[in-house]
Order: sequence, then structure tokens, then C-alpha cells
Amino acid sequence: MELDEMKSVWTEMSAQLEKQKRLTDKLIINMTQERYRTKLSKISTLEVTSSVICIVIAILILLNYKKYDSSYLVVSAIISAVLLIIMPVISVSAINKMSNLNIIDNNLKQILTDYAKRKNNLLFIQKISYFLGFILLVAILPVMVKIMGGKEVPMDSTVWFWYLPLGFLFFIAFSRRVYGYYIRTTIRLENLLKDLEE
Amino acid sequence: MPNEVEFIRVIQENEGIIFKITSIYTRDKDDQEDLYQEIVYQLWKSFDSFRNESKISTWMYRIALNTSIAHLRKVKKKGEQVPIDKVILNRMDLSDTVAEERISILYEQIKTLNTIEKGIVVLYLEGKNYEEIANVTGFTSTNIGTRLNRIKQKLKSQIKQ
Repeated sequence: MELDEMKSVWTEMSAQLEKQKRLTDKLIINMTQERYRTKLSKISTLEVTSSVICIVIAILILLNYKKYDSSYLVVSAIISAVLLIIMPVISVSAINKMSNLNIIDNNLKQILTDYAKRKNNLLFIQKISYFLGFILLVAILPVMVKIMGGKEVPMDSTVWFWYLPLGFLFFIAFSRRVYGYYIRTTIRLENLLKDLEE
Repeated sequence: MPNEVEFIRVIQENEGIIFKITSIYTRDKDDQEDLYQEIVYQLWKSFDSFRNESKISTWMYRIALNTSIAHLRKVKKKGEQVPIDKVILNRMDLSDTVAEERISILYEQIKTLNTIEKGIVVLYLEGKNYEEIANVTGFTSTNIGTRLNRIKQKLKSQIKQ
């Protein structure tokens, strides 16, 4: 179907739609009110719940500072607590930026440009968080063992022989998928921005 | 707080716009229902800021297109929905099967276009001139002409395939 023919079909369809006005007053008001409630309840999302868990664990680590009796434990505890606080904060802030596009004042070009830029920023943060997650995986083990059982995990402990390779395998398996997704999305966003600039 | 009576009148007069935009930017009835409500909500939120500087339909197209783009690109997190009577979304149950088929081909073809092209083509099909399309989309009038030519070529090449 060529554009001119599409236009005539569209006009016929629009005329049909004009004859079929069906929205009631009540339905329109219900839609606006229900959406308003939904927006408020969206605050309790998965991201916020996991952020709270991370911050609770960070507080737990900090409250147990007296138990860390070696410099290696102190360093691990500081790294773990800092990562547990920073990672969710930057992720939630990037996700919030994604969902706060200015629909009312912007035009289509601005919305898409903002979207592409914010999505790029979110991808960058996801990528960084992924690597930081691996550091956390290593740093948090001795700290948690110390908090839970009160024992220290020595550097030459057998725990490291299974924990580190397992963590590393998990990291490699996921990084392949994450990297592929990152490349595909970045290319798509670059094309979108190029198209908008034309 | 927007004037409720006036808002309802505007929505009822232009409900076809919301229906057409949601039909193009969604894949199934569930998505369409969700987007339909989001557009009505965004229109409600911005109704007070509408200052009659442009036509009401132009304002509605801008908000509806922006909402479609922003809403559908989010991670799917659906909230509560007001159950919309199915007759509102199943409007094109025409007795004329030929017309029905032509409309379905029309939608299929529009759905093959990318996000920007969809927005431009909808406004063009609605009879908006280049300047009005430029006003809603943010591109220049010349650029709209170029893009529409490209869309025509794209549609022609689809017919050949």
C-alpha cells in the first residue's frame, strides 16, 4: 500500500471512529485517578527493595566494626560497605532519570534524544556495577564469615579455592551475555541519535 | 486541578486520536489498554498548561506521541488498570471485511516503520501540514519533507518484496 492509498484508508477509518464515540465521563475520570494511585505505589519497586537490603547489610557491616581485628578485614569491610551504599544509589538514580522524561514540555525529537542519552548513561552504570559486583563478591566473604561466626577467613583458606573460581565462572558466564546486550543496545542508540541528527 | 467537565469534553471529542496512536505503538490489547490509560493520565496532568497557542488536536498528538515513546521504552511494570470496556479497544469490527482487511494492512505497514517514522506518518495521515508536523516532532519542515520521501520509498520497496 502506498502512502496516498494509506491516507485514504486512514481517512475512512477516522470517519468510522468519529461515529463510534464510546468513552464515558466516569471511565475517563477513573482512568486518571487510578493512574495517579498507580504512580504513587510504583515507589515500592524491586529496585528500591533491593537497595534497602544493600543498605541494611552495609549498616550491619559498619555496626560490627569492633570485630574486625586485622587490617585485611577492615579494608574488606570498608570496601563492602562503600560498594553496598554506592551501587544501589547510582542505579536507582539512573533508573529514575529514565522514567522522568519530560512528556509535557518536550517534542518527539527531544524525548528520543533524552531517552537515548539517559539509556546510554544507565548502560554505563550497569556495566560499572557489574564489575563492582565482582569486587563485592570477593570483599564481602571474610567480613560476613567474621560477623556470622566470629572466625576469620585466612588468605590461604580452602574456602577461597571454591568460592573464587565459582564466582569467577559466574562472572564470565554473565559477562558474555551482558557484553552482547551492551553492544547491541549501544549500536541501536547510536543509530537512533544519528537518525535524530539528520 | 484541571477543569473536569472541560477535560472530559476534550477527551470525548478527540478519543479517536488516542485510539489510533495506541494501535500503532502497541503489540497487543493489554499493552494498548495500558498505554491508553497512560495517555489519558498525561493529558489530564498537562491540561492546565494547554494555552490555546496551538490546536487542541496538535497538543493531544504531541502528548500522546511523547507518552507512547516514553511509556513503551520503560521496563514493563504495569500497575493497576481500569478495566476498559473491550468495545473501546475493539472498534474496527466492521461489517465490511474488505475495509477491515485494508485497515489491518495499513496498521501492519505502519508498524514496520521505526519510532520516528511512525510519529511522522501518523501526523501526515491525519492531514497535518509539514509545519504542524514539525511543531509536534521538533524537526524542521524541510526535514519532514525529506523523511516523508524516505518513508514513501520504504513503503514502495515493501510492496515490491
